[in-house]
Amino acid sequence: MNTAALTVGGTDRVREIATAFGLTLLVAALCAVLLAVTGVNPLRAYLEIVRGAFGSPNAIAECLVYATPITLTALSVILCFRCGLWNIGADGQVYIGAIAAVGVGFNTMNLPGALVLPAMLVAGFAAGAAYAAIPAFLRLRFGSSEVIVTIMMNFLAATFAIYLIGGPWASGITPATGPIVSSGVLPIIIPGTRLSAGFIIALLAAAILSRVLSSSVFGFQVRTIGQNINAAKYAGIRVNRTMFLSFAAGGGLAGLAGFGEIAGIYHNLPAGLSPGFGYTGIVVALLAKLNPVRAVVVAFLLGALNVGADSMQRALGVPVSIVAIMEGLLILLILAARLIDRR
Amino acid sequence: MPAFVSNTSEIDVSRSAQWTLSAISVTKRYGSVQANTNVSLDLRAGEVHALLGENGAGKSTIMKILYGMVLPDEGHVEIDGRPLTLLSPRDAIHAGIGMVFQHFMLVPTLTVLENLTLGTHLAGQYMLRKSQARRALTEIARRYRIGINLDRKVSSLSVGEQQRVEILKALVRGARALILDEPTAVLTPAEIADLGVTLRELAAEGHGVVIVTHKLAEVLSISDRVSVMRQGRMIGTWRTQDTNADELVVRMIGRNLDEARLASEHRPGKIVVEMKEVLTRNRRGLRGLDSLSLQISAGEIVGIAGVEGNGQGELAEALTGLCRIDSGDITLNGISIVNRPTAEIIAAGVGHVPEDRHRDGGVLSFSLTENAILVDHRSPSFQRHGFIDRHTAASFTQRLINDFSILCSGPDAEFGDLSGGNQQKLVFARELARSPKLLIAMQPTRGLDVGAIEYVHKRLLEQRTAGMAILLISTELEEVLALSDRVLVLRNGRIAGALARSEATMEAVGELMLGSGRTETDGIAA
Repeated sequence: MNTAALTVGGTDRVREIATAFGLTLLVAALCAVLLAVTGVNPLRAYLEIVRGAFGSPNAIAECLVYATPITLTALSVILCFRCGLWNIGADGQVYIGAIAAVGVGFNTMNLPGALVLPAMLVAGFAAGAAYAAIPAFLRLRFGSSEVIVTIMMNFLAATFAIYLIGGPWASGITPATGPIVSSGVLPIIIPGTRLSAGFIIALLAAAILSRVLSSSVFGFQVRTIGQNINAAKYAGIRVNRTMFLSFAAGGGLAGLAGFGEIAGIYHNLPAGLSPGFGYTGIVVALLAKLNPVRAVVVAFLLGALNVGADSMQRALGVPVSIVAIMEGLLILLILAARLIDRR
Repeated sequence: MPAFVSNTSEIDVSRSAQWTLSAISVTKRYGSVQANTNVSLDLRAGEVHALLGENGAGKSTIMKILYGMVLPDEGHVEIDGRPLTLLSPRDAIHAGIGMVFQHFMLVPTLTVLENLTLGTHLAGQYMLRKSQARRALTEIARRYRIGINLDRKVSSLSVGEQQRVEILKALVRGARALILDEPTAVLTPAEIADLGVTLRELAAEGHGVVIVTHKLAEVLSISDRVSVMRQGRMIGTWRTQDTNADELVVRMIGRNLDEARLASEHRPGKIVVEMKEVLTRNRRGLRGLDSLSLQISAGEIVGIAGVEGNGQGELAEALTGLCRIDSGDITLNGISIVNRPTAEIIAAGVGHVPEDRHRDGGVLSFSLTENAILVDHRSPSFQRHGFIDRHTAASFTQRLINDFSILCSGPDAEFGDLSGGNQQKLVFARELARSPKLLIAMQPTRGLDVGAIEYVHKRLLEQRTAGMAILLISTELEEVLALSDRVLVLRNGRIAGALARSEATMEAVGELMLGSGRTETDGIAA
């Protein structure tokens, strides 16, 4: 890419950031043409995106709200990818985690108030993990592709949620279940915004996963399997067990995203809970080069772009689709630049 | 078809033409590393020219420059005194220079014919003109006496056959000068002999052939002239008949080689490992090991000789728990290890230098430290509460680097950036450092240069003296004979014969390797 020429001699990181920056400018320039054609001043549009994303504490909080679930699904994808498995099923795991969290959150068992949230969290994680354990088992025992199975299971989970909302858990008013008990609601960390402690959970998860992957024995085994499964077998690593555990734990992380949406944002299970959190998570994971800490940054930037786009649409009447185009272009170009760079 | 006729005439021209391809005063730096310093080399029509040197001597660099893959910092390439501009392999192919790499570049799912026509004028513009291509290829193969079935899939070919396809590929593209990078590294002795015949044939037809190698025997038997490189410099070029192995070694490594030989008496201790009638089957249900029994005692090296693919891999896998054993028993110090998890067997004191260090022995994208603790990362010395102790691991790695003089920038260097010899040293060092009771060394010197081979051999002998039980599995017969207290010959997954050191001659072992009808039936009866 053009920007690569600018950064010759720099370190890898400088080069990478410069590449990303250069590509962003390139995409902005391309979309400026698009905007100009639709009769909007591109500069105003871009300014509106920036203002919409960073213009107020509430704007920034909204970016973080957006980033929370996709950080967790990205972490899920990262853990599985690092172990050589493709988790396309984070979306379904989000749903199942959310369903479990809501189920516990109704608190029909009358848990003491202080225990409701932890129980919801554990249920969300465990349900996501159990849901992921199915494709992992099928893959490791029978060799069936985890890609296909997880994709299919995404539909199952989303449809199951719709069944619950329309049937057993129907509230009768909105297309959502009834609310969870108030002790199952995560505290808001910036007053006056929607940003809940779910974001802290995502940050903690990223920090923990980062540390586990880089320096724990388990992480070492995961990385060895992902990089060279034969060497892992040779070194006596229990490959199947480790792969199963990573996939299940990955499912658990996605399940946490479901819990976070329920306890932090909706306080019930709405229809269409996930607008593709699992798939966006894959994009974030790839852009972050499977690095958990970077995933947080990428998720935030993606959040900023989306929140800014909404604001641009409100202010200038520009269709949000333009931003979807920008996003798509940017992601494609960054991944393409990386492929070119690797040669 | 017309295109092909013109191509044949080109080959005809080269048969009569006397040309010389030269590299003139080539210098190439990679960062701070001087890969080539003022290297000159010439290749003449009709000769087989060996380029000899240790790993890292700069052989590959000068060859890549001749093939246009690498641009020299100084110097140039010329044909008959006319400078050539080689910006890419395409230019080199156009100039009649072809290269056969150590790792072949064939499409495994296509047939030989399809691979040979791919991307050439033989393929036709839009449709594959198979019958014409077949006629043309048959003619070329016949001329150079290269026997190959054009209709077989490349994936079903042996390594030697694939190499022949690669050579044909270069010829089809009109190569007059042919560069072969380590052509014998992957071949069996019989295939090496065949290759020698093919190369002589090529030279007789007026082609010039360069073989890049670090094996002396080949140099002496195949080449007309030999050039020696050391540390990026050209030491000189000699006519092969005017020189000998000892001289070449001195030129190559800059000193005399003391060949590793068993010195002391064979005084084995107690039995460390015992296999009794072990039978394994592969996925297709074929027998890998067929009722194989053997014992290895402390303080002895048991060498396994045999043609590749006769159960060597299965033997190593059976001993390390990497493959399932269908029947029979294996004991390590009296305790059965049959079908136990690999981790358990490793912990019980088995070290394993695997045949393929890229596939099994290490992780290319990992640091040296991570590779150094690959096998023992669970052991208390490298972890605390489930987390890896980086400092201990790094200083351990530094020690291996120092002890085995591994050439690298430090413990954080990437394993894949090391030369093959240094990678092998690290794997070897790691396994020795674990002080196993049984060491399985499979092809421990494959791809290593003379100096490194000497080093590995010495270490193996040291460990034998120190009381380690060593199973040496190698297709290099000389290596097996030089180091082993006992030689077992493996054929069809069975021990075809056991020879004491004194009986183990090249001839005796060779006979057993190939087998006669009588021993075959004996084996079945047993």
